[in-house]
Amino acid sequence: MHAEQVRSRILAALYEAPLDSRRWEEFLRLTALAVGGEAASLLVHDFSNTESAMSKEWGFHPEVAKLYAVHYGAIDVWRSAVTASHDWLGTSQRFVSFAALLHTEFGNDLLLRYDIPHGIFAMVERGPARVANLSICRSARAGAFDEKDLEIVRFLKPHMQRAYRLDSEFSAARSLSGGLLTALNAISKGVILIGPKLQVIAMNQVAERILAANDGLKAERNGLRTESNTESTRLDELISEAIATSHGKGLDAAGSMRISRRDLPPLHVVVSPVRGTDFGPRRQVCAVVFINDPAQRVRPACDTLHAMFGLTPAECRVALLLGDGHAPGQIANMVGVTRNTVRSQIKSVFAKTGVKRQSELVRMLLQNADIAIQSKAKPGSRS
Amino acid sequence: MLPDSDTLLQLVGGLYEAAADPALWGQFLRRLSFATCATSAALVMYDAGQEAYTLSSSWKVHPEATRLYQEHYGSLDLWAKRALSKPNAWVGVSGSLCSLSELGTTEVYNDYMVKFGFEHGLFALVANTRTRFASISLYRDSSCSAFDASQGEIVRFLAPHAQRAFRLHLCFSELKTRSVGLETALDSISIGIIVLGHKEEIVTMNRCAAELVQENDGILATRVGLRAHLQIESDLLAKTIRQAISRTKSSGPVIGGTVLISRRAREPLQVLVSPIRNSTFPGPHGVAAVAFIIDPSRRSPPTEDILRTLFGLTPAECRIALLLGDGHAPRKIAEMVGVSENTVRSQIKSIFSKTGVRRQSQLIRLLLSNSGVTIQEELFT
Repeated sequence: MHAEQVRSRILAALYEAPLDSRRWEEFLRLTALAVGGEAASLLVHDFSNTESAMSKEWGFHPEVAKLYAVHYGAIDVWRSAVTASHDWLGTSQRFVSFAALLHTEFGNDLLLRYDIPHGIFAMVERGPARVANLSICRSARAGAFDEKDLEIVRFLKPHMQRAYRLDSEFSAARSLSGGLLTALNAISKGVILIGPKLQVIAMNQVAERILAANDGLKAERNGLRTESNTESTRLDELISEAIATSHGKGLDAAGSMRISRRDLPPLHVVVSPVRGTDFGPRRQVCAVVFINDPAQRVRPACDTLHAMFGLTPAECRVALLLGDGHAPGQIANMVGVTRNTVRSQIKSVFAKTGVKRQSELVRMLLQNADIAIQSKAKPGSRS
Repeated sequence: MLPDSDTLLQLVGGLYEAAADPALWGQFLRRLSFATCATSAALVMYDAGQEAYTLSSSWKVHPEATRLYQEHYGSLDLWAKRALSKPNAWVGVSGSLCSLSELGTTEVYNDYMVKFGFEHGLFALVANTRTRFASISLYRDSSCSAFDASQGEIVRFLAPHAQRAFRLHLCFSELKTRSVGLETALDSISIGIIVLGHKEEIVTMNRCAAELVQENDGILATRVGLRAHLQIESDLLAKTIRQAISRTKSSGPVIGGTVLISRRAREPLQVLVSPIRNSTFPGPHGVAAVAFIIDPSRRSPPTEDILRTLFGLTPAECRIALLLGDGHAPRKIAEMVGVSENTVRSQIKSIFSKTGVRRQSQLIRLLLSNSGVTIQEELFT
């Protein structure tokens, strides 16, 4: 194949990699083949915990990546020689002579054993806490790499650096968005993100559960719908107002309404606009819909109450029943103990949690129940 | 003939730089204009859903031209309209879309294009789907000749990179706006939320958490992560966070840890730390844990507006409902408001029937469950 075509295929794989990480392997394969290498990897050296690992690799014996991460990364003589250099591009013998390499554990036990004693290295990222480099290897039989083999790697170096940076930025953005969704999933209210055309963009798990019940509120292709036309119209109005506010046109802060259901009490809905961002050709999220289901019994987990306040299982049960709004007499009947036992347990619950009245206890329990990380998504949690 | 490879590689580099930072599209267009002797250049976009034409980035396009294009002339742009029927990745000159003599009879040419120097065009379609059209458009004014094959060759060479860079750009901007949306939702919640990275570092926090940290009472946000004023609590908090992070990779139930953080005068903060399971995004940039912070002294009652629309309470009833929600007895409320206890009792009866509750504790529950969503009015004005 013509050299130009090879280069453009390598560049295509390289710059696709931030969108699809499997393309890193293709990039490594094409690059290795272009210089007559037999294996290639992207090595990441983390100085904060002195870990070295192959973050992507092609062509190595399956054991090599594992052994490198658990043992040989730390005693990689190539790494220490290469990281000491400013111009990070060269063949292995430029950094460590072949004879010297054979005197090391790394050279003998890893490189010779798996027959990868010759290499080419190029710096991909050099940060204060982390260094990443490309490493291409081949067998003793294939012989050492020479200067001519470096040419294509030299050409690729700035592109690798850019693509790796894009990849890092993309992973960070994906990870952040995933983390934020995880946090939102822990909230006991339904949260739905709405786009510019009233369409649903994302929602948390509570919202998914409410919509899955298919009672009152539904998500359709063109937005949220309710059972009644009047309510649908009102909901559309609220969302459109919020979107207009997000676009800087409206003045309304937020609106609220009730959405009727067949048997259960109505859902409480609050629609709020989203602060805009000028990033990108168009705004994606324009409004947020919060849903509160009054029929959903929100309770903190006993684990949390135990860990936080040292409540015993019996005290937890009494606390939760008090929180549900039952009187001490009722609780005694429900649990099957005397009123006096319940009263002394309540006293102990108040002392341990530092509350003075039932209303304060209800407040405390509900605040903890807002985060449903330890008791989430139990089926049949509606009362 | 293609220019030297350094120039071309700089252009390729500039495209991918713009993928992560849209402010750099202008710089790329400038470089490309130099290489192709264009007098101006723009990234022309058409959004089918909003039926909107925009010049989203440009070089040497008069600001007035950009405004007018969006408001009026975009929808009359004969070049863009004809290019819409071309396949994705098409590269071509304006002459192949319509002749100058045909263009000369149109309103858009005589009133707009002549005035702002859009006489000849050279286009590379970087996206052409059912919903979105985008073109890197190079222009020359009437003092120049039309673009010829050599400029076409440069643009053709860049076209696959431009498409890829544009895809990266869209993907990145959607991720960013999605995160902004999620952050906004979290900002409206009256629980402190702090997202932590693999090295315990603070990645982001919501509005409520920022306020709690700002108070500098009990909990501290440091460079190395979340800490507490008291050493013993600080150690416990750090340990709990480390444990949560180490559970990021394990399977089994998502169990977090809890820590109480004392404050000088107020009730202690309740902190829950939970691991983030996100196996699809491993690596050093990943987020690893969330800390939820509850401030028991934080009263965030629902607004009267919400109580009015949700339950039809009168202003007087709203006031009494909120006092009941704070745990006050009817007699105390009567004193505070300055009416008779009987009046308060009849209002309570009305509140109970409108909200469908039977006991004060149920009302507290109802008020609280509508209060986690605190709408920050000042944000939206």
